Amino acid sequence: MLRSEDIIATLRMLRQENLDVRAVTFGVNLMECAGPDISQVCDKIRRKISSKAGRLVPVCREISEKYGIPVVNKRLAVSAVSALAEGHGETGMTKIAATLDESAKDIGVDLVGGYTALVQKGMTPGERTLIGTLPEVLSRTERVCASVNVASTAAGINMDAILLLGEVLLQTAKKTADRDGFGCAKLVIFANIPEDNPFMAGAYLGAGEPECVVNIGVSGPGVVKNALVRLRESCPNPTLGDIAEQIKLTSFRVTRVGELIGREVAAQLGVPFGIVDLSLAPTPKMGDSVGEILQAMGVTKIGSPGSTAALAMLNDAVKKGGMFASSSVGGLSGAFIPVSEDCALADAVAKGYLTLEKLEAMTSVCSVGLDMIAVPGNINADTLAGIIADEAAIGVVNGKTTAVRMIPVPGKKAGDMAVFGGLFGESVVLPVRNLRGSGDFVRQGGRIPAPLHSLKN
Amino acid sequence: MSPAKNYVLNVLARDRVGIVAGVTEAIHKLDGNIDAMSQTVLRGYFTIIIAATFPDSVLPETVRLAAEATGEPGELAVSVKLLDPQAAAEPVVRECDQFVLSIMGRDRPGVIARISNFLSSRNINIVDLYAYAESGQFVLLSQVMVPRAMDVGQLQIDLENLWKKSDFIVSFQHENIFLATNRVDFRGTGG
Repeated sequence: MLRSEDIIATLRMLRQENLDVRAVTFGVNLMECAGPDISQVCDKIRRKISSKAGRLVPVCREISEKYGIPVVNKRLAVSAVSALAEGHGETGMTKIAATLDESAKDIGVDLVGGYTALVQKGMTPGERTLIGTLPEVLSRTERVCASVNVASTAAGINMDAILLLGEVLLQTAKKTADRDGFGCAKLVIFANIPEDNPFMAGAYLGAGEPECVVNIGVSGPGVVKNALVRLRESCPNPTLGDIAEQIKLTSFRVTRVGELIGREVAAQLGVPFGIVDLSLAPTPKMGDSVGEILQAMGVTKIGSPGSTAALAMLNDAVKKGGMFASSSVGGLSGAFIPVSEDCALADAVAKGYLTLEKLEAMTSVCSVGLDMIAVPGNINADTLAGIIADEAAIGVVNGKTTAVRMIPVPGKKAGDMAVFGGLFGESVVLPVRNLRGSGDFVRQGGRIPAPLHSLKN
Repeated sequence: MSPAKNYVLNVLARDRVGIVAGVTEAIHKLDGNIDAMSQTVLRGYFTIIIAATFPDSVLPETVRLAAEATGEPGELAVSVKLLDPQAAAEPVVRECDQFVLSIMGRDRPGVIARISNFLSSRNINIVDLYAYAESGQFVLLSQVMVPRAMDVGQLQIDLENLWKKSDFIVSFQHENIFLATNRVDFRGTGG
């Protein structure tokens, strides 16, 4: 029999602390759709998505009702399109992107990830083609999300691809200039890309994944923040150990909810359950911010010295609670710090507390990198490539995932406001210092070799 | 102990130290063996329900008088019934899932009557219910058995409509959400 206080604790998380399931992402392998005729490929893709994932949205609604818990986003993750469409050229790639866009709309999901290329060690013609089509695809489609893995701990860092992507970001921003370069918000450039990440824009179905799978992104940061506020109310001077314990306990509960919903969605759709991703993913809403957790921990000006340590502690406590709650943890599983999508971080940037350099430092202790950062539109490709390479190096050397989702905002300079809308939020454009100081390095091309795996100091 | 009789015994009294000790001692002296018991105290009043097995010769009235005699005259209200072994074997409602119903809002008369009539009209059985009013605020937490064929979404809409335009917050959720978030050993359902 349940105890009254247990019921009340869960109800409080649901009603007052914004407990929800952030993302139910249905992974579907599309490799069997490959073939020489692009029209047939597109037909097969359409049919397969419809037959395998057509019931995703109604099933999520039904389970959401049963448990009285919102399932905020329903998404699709598909096999890397570069492999599926190898040999089809630009036209074929863009047709597949349009098909994915339509299929996602047909089944009622808001985003589909998998317009992806894995080029950490080198590029095939198809991968090079896909990268070349990114500006077109990201500006023409509504729901398609793209990702490129440019580095890995095992392979090193592909500087040729990074330089190419510096140009791609500028072109994509230019093609979506009327929306402050929004196309770039749908492109994630990774080091050590996970194969089972349920979060957009970086989700895709890895080659080692099942035919179909349901992966879950757990609730947002509001629950953790409110738990810390409650802790301070009941214990005016908590130690950092008390705070870590409270975060752990909250993460346990949140993860359990994610796994419960994920397993039931998977069972009803007749596919395996994959993983719960423990990442705290903010939205622009007040009360749903990782920055606000840092503030609740005592970092009132986010970006001040101590911010990295606080974030490291938060991330670690979330993982410890989540790992105990579920044996199926995966994906990115770290705190996200996407600037425009997090009101407290966006505010810290606007006030000048949080700089690009500090954000980079913070990404060394959390996933997922320099995320949703608006930079001046006049930045050049070399500088963008340098930023991507730096972020990739953090991931490669530390054996973790890092990524860059950066938007050079056309016609805007540091201090101007960039507005992406909806879940993508808005942010002041960050200044980038020391422009044009590393072009000679990034333009040399080739690959930065894989790092040493011993002598870890 | 054979042949034997199974009784179910209920005691209600103002709470004090020693009620359980007295009643269970009385059962023991009648060669009774307690199979299950559950007690609770609410607003200073004690109640207990006991299922026990007695020798065939022990009558319900004998048990009742022995239990009552452990208190002051008129202190303990005791009732004893023959236990039907089928009661535990057969679920009150078949093929059902357990849900948690919670109601919170400004206290007013008739809330429990209204909700329990709503539930019974839909063949939903209450298995546990706890309610209290404090500083004018009413809280009800209940675990109920819902027939599996029932449309939960529609039930939730009907529940919300019960107190439309009032400050009541009503929620109705499958119990697994509470088990998953509170029980370390919860293993869940489904794939």
